[in-house]
Amino acid sequence: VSIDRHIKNACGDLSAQAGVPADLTDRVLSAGRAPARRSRRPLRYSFAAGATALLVGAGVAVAVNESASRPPTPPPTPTIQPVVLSSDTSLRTDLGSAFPSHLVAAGHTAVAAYYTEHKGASGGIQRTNYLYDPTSGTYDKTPWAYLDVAPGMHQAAVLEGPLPTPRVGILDMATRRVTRWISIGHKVGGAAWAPDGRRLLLTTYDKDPDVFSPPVGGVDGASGSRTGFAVVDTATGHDTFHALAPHPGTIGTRQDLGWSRTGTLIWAPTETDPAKVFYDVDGRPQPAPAHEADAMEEAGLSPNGVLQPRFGPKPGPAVTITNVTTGKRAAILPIEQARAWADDRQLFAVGCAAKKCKGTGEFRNRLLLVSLTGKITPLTGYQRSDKLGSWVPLFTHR
Amino acid sequence: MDTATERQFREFMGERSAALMRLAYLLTGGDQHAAEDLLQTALTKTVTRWAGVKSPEAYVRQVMYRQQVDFWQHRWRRRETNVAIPPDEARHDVTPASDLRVVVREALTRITPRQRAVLALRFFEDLPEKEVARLLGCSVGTVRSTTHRSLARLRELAPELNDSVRVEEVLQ
Repeated sequence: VSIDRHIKNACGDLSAQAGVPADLTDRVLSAGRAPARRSRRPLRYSFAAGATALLVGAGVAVAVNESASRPPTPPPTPTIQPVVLSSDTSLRTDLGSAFPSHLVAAGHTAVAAYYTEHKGASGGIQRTNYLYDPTSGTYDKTPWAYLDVAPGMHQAAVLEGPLPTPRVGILDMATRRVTRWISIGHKVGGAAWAPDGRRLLLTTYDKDPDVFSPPVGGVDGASGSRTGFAVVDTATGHDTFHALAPHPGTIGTRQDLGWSRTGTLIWAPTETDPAKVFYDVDGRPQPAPAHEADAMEEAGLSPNGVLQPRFGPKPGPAVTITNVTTGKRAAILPIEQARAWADDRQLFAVGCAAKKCKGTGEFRNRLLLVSLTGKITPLTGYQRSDKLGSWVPLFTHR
Repeated sequence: MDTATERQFREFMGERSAALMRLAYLLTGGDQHAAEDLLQTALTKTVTRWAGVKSPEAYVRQVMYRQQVDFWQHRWRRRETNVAIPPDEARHDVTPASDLRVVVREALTRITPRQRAVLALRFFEDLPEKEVARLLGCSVGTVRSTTHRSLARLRELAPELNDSVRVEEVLQ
């Protein structure tokens, strides 16, 4: 490798971190119509990291007054920051095998990692995590018991086994080194990056959340062992913990918390309706944001917040996409599950081979890209999803 | 601006905005806000001259490069980015390729916009010196000397690059 190549690679790496502001075209057109008062990007303080790709509806921003001579203004109120989309939207597939070895991506989203499950020595389910390496372009097996990848795919939060564990590592995905260990006063079993790519939501447990204990003395061993959560600012290492008991009646021991679309609230899963209950980051119950608490496909609302995928109608396989603003049906797609939005028009989905979806055939499936017009593009090879050892993708905004 | 121009511009942005934003981001050394400003300014110039521009993408690129290199308006020239932590001292061990890549990437964010633009044109876009000179509106000699100084500065900021090159020379 010559010095030319080193510089070329570094330029490529740096430029790949760019995010395209969703309103750029409109800004330019309005500036072009009125050149005398050229409209620039509005001044703002953003909680989002500059290079972080944000696909979710909005981050929180605070407008600032540009003129020092003006009278004092009231305290700044949160406003919605325009969506910043990742710049690389190329389609990447790996059809060669059931397990992807090379990057799988479409639109603004990529499979940043995946895990397989197998029975551990303790009788519980253990995960083997595979993480995308931007240097080699492949997924590599990792020693971590749990991980989550930050938007932009430059950093991952990693947990050491056995779970739960008292510290979380911030891994640089390019060098594969932990750049920082953050110790938490409680034991952590799950981690989720906020859409701003800076805060981490850590779910704490008092037992391994993936071990299913048999009922003892009439006590259902499957009840959760969640103790609460901590929100960590990864830039400063500051964390705040709040107790949050497992939701009653929820099946399964792992009850990880997640972020709302804007990253302003967090949610906990339930087995009832609504499927998610919301809290602020201090653990106080909050009303659910519109259409976010509904039982729907894992993909959730589309990035523009308009389209909602739901399972059905029977006999399927089918997922119905509804426009939540008009209530009208936008599409019925021949897929088994809608897993993540690639953009506002395309979904990552799990689908089985046409005409072989009946009976156990439904479990022979693979990852697909499906557009709202019904166009299907295979992304990976087939696998048996009902057997231990099958892989589960982790989607991240790239 | 008429409707046809706006439609053409929107189509152009749909296809090319991501690539142009990547270039703007590179030229501004990874500053998202500065990159947005740079690209927005270049695009605004382009859209107001739309009918007379033969290749919009080439025009936008040229505007961005010239604005960053800025051979003429010295008051706009920015200094290197200051950082709180001084650069690491030169290490004598062989740096793994992935680390080297990160080190060079970081060094790129810390050289001047002019140095970064010339390196990007020569090594990222693979343009010959003559073409770089035409694009920037300067002489081939200026391109050559700026490239030389830019490489020297990059090696200062990323001494691992020297180690790597030496190892490669031995291996060849």
